Amino acid sequence: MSHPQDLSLREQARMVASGELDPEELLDATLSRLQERNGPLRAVVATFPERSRAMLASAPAGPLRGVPFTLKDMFSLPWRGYQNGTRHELGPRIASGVFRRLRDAGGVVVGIDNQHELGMGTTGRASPYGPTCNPWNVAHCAGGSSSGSAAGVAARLVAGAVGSDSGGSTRLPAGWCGVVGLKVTYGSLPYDGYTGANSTLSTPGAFGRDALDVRLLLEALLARPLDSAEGRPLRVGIVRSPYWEDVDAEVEKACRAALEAAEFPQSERELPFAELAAPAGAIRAGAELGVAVPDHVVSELDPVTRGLLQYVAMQPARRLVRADRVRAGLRRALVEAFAACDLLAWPTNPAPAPPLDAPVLQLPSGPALADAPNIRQAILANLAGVPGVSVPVGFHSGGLPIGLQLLAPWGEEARLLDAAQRIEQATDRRWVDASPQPA
Amino acid sequence: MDDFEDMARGALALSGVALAEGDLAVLAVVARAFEPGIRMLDGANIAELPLEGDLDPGRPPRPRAAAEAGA
Repeated sequence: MSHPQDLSLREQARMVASGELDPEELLDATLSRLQERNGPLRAVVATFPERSRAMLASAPAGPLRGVPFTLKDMFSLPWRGYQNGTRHELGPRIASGVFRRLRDAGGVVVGIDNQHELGMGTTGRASPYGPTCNPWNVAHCAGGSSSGSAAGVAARLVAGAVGSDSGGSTRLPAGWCGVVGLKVTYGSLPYDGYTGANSTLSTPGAFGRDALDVRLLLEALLARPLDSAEGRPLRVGIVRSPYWEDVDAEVEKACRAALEAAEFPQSERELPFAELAAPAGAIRAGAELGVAVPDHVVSELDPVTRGLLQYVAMQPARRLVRADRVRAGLRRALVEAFAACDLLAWPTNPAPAPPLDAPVLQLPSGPALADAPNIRQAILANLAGVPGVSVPVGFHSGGLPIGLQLLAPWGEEARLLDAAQRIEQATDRRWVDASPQPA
Repeated sequence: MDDFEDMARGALALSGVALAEGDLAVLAVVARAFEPGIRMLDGANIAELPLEGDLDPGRPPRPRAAAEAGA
């Protein structure tokens, strides 16, 4: 048999349940793979083999029994409070809601993922552990802020990981690392022991190599079935402005080709105020992410992260109110859009992952620092609270993955996974079955 | 002290946020990166956009009439 981490998540779960795969051997092989492959990637920043073995020993016979997972550093464990991409425990040592859902499904937590410091960036460069590297080219960014979660799944350190998404932090790194990443509907998971507990934007997010793996993981996290809906073709709305404008030509071509291959009926949609989503989201996210960072942590931050916190603190209250009025308008506009179509679609990232030493996107309008254009593509889902997914749809000529983003109405995670699976099938699984060479 | 530095020092002092030596240059870069979007947000005509007083991001917004009637 090949290495068990080259199996899909669902194959691991099935084989453990049937007795074909010893879960202790799976755990040992996973820890060995982490030792072998994590070094150049810096995807995982902490492991705790004895805790993982204890978790396995008491794992119930749930749907994920014995399957290893990693978690973003935003979720507390009973033996480690979340550190949110810093060197300090900022949360209590408790069984966070996400941890409990995984544990109760039989999952085994084997590591904590690297992430962009405080979740305040989309490149994964700023981290006290060093930047997370993209498994497809270690000189390039993995994306963020759930950088290690996406990179670890892409590099087959684990088959599933749980990250978070306050402004694209699941979808954006999934796009750049060539994996499936799904942000759930706001509030659909327990928020205790999660850095997003005081946010109106943040949700956990699930990573897997394909839609079926993410479906299995999400069913456990959401504690409800996500049954596939057979029936009429899904109607896709194309919001040209601003989401298909100022996008790298190869990215646009790959995303359009995937939608065509899946034979989704498409129609152009206008979304009033969409051009204001990015600044409104940045103001709201800044206000929420910047609170309660202790002074001794602020002084140790990357200068840009500290600058972002200071910039947030300078914002007048009236600007936050304007941002919230735009948010209200966008939510109403989405209700109207979803009355006419089942999904909205646009490129996850406007360009492929940039080099770590120069995180600048090459866009038709010219070079741009990565965060602003990335957030422009992503933050509508956070402002609205709707679920979104990134699906691999190709590779750029430079060899880096391209992701297509789909949004669905509130609570329609199953519809997103149906669509993602449809795309995977229509593209002969070329993009989800591709695997990077070990770094 | 230029206008930006004056404004930044004043705003951060009001917020009780420390500004260390060297922070100002980075802060200016951050502000420049956000400026186009912020200008758009400040200048947008949002007269017809009321706040969503009972915001629950986990659900679609209630229809305007129901929200205004407090239903």
